[in-house]
Amino acid sequence: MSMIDVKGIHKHYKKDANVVRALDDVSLAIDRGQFVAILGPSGSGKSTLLNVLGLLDRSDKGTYHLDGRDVSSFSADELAAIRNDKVGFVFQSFHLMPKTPAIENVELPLIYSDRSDLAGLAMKALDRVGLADRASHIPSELSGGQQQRVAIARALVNTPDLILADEPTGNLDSQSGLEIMEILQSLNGEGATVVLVTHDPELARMASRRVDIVDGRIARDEIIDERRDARAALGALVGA
Amino acid sequence: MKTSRVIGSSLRSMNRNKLRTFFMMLGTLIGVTALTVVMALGQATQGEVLHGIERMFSGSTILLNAGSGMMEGGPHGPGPATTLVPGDIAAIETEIPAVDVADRLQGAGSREVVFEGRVSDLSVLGHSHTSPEVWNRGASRGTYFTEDDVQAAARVAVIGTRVAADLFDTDDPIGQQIRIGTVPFTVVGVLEPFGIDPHGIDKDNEIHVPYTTVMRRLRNVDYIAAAKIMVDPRADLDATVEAIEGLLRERHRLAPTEDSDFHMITPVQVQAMIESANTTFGVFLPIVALIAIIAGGVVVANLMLLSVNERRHEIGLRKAIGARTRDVWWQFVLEATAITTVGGILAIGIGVVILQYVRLHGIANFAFPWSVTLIGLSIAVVVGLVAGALPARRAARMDPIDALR
Repeated sequence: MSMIDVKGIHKHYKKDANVVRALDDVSLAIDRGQFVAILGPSGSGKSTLLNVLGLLDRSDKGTYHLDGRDVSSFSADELAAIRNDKVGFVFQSFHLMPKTPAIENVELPLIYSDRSDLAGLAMKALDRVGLADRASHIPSELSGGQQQRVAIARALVNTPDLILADEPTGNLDSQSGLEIMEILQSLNGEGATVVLVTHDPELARMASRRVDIVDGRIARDEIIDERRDARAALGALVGA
Repeated sequence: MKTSRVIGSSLRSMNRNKLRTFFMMLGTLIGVTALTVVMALGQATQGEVLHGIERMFSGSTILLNAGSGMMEGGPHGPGPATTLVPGDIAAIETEIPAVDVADRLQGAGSREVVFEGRVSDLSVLGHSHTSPEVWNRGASRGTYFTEDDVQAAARVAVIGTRVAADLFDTDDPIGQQIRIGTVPFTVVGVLEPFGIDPHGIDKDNEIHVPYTTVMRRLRNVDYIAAAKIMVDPRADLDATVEAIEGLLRERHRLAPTEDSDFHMITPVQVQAMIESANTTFGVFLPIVALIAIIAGGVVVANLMLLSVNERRHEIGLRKAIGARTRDVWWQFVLEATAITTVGGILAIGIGVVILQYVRLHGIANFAFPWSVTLIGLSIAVVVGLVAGALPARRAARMDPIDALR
């Protein structure tokens, strides 16, 4: 059974007088442990797909089974609970709370969960992305790459099954971007399912599967045989 | 458990955004400060006014005035009523058993008062020697004038504390010679301090002399203006009023169809005065203060709405990572309430400082209005809940995708 199973989903927006077909009859199944890169030009519907997969947005038509449960009919609060428990989000613009120490940013999802020892779990997550020594720094005292690593720590503090990253390297230089990719690859190696939205084919080659979206439809869907290793790419970049 | 974490998190966030928090606080801060100060000073003034009314008209007393009490022939009437004479009062004292004692009153108006080159325009009032008993106000130094002084129309004066301070500084005024107009007087006493009467007149800035002296030496008239009559508290006041009316109408030879040429103010009318004063202070002041607090609440609500817009990303993020609609709603309502509550507490502090200043500088004397302050604080909390509810609703309903974009 696939972890994610969407069938025949549509999503239309009205923009001015035109109807934009962000998603047009998309079906996609993602197995547990896969690293899926979703590629496409801007406006192709790839972010909309990610939002639907992450339960932030509902499709107009079609079904969505997550871990075998039909989530299309869930209430907003039920979806919030699933997002909190199972999903970790990483955004292009980080979305860290300003003036707030890294550790409290990482604690944020725990506030809405039933877990205890918030600071301990947050510290563990920060340590996982190599920023344990920056726990008390506020975002403006951190570099862009460090800020995105704090955001990743926030995404994994609830030990989610699914990590959704929307252009996580889009605002970063290539070295910081590779560092982020390295973390995502190693999280995937530990068993997390990762879905990455990007427009960079080179980054997509670091995933285990590539899905191309054009005009709201899946144009291509293939397993990547020769996977690029982010750590090696980073080593080559730093070495050069 | 979860809720307390949300509270803790938003309190820390407010602490970090001090400027934003401060401006939101300012609204309720000013509102509750205004409420506290206005109510405290209002209550103090109300207390003084009521105290003054009680001292002037306490118990079973009747104020008997010359004239019908109606306006006749223009705003100032036909000139001073000349119908009441000292003999009328003597007759009331002897012929009506329920009457204990009466104070005859005749004023000399504002007169130039001179002591060793110092000049002051002061209100000169004629009283009987019974005045201390009737008005519950005697001499704090020296003595009030005596029955013999009244009989002889003696040139003796009892002066208010402010007069004493103005004319004599710290010197002892007793036995000193002053002039009222051209007539020399001997100061025999200083009146007990009283303060401001309900009409706003400073009762410490006046001079008492025998009413006979006013009549013969200062004004040369044979009538008095009024009398304050004390009635035995066990007697029927209405019956006594009727008896006085009958006696005076007979003495003044009024035909049954004629109106009385005098009128009386009884405690029933005084009660009406007190109620009207209470209405002013009990309704008007709270309304003014309430408006200040509501204005503060509107400010909080507005800034909160702005803040919700400004914090779209934060709201979107919180929802994306699992905050439920009610979690976001509670966060904003709690922030608004915490802000107004802290603002209210600070306002009490500022109010204490302002009122302490007022008290130390002797502008007014009062007990600190803790009850008013606590009411103000509770209103501030309610205002926070109400003012936070609408912005919180908007925040909670925000679509996380739109908010994150």
